[in-house]
Amino acid sequence: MDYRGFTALGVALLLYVFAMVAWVPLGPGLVEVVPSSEGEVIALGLGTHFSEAEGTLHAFVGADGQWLPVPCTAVSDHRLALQLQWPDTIHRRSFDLFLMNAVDGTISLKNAFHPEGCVLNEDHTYPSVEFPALKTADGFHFPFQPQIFETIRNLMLHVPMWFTMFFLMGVSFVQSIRHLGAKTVGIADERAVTSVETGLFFGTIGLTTGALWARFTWGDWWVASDPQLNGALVTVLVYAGYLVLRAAVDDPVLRARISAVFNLFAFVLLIILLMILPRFSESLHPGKGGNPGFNSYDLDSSLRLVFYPAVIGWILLGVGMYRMRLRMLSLHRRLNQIER
Amino acid sequence: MNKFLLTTSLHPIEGLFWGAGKAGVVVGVAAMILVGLLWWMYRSHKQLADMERRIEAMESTPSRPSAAPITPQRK
Repeated sequence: MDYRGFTALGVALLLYVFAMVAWVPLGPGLVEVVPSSEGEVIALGLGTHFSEAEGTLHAFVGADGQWLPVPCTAVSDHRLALQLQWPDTIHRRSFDLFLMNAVDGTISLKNAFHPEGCVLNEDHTYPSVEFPALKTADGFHFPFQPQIFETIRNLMLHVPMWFTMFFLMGVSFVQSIRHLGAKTVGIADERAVTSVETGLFFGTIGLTTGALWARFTWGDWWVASDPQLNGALVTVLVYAGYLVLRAAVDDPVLRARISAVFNLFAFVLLIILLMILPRFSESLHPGKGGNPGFNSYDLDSSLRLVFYPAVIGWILLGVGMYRMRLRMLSLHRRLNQIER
Repeated sequence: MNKFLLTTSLHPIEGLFWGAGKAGVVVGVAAMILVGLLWWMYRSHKQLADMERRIEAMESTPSRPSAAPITPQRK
């Protein structure tokens, strides 16, 4: 299969991915609670249906298995007015908010309230209330996550960039080994450098899109203390160094040999910096530094149904681009031969 | 986002990057990728088409020297 085949397959999968990213709704969730001018507390929802489910609304505040029912009224589909009356004695400082209705199921906001002016008694108990059974929202949707909200869709756009880069750098690594085994400058060296160039393209896009996502979820373009971010940048710079090294050596045999050795170390560094070190230190990235991965949030596998095709689609597109570059080099060679 | 959500009388979730649960960030990320890809594909296709055209022209008239200098081989 030539580059057109890989590209067409990749594009077909990515069309499905982009369609799902655009049209699959986000599951309902609570963004925050804010006081209103009428003395009530407004719970702000995203993707919620408070008005639509007016007759089935239930609200509770509590924690540790103790619950206080809260009268509530829908202001709109996204706003719910809570008439909160705190008891004189409370059993802890912070309270979670749980909302239930027939459309959105059970949604919650952790540590939503920190009541003031109440006496704290950790042994205090409230009158028992009937807590409705937990229920998930109907329909196919992406999981709602605090802070991340709609940007969870970026999982299908940003993360596969790195998978594609890993794959292409892996191809380059294998080609470098083949080159060192062959000991003559041939197609393996050409494949190694072409693969690195294409992988760097994906790495650069991964860095750029990651910075934008970080700004609106973590609050900064670059979180300097995050080992995953720094590891990604160092990896990209190391591979950029590979290209600089090649440009600095004139002798083709020496250039191919030195750069192949460099490439072996670069790939080992990539694995250490991006796949090993972030797991052993504090990181904001999901699945790193003790954080749960995205898949642990996704009980109905809705993310997997889009994420896996996205990874395969981007990798196929990456391979298509890589082979297109190889085709270009082969045409260069042919052009040179004709001219001689 | 709070002030916006509480003061607006329109649909409560609006805005560019922060609004609509930051849906604009997804659009921004998708736009970055697509612009990058389109630029790369356009550049590559142009180069490929140019080389194929030159090879075809040179093979049909083998004695004629090429009109433009050959792009040097990459290091």
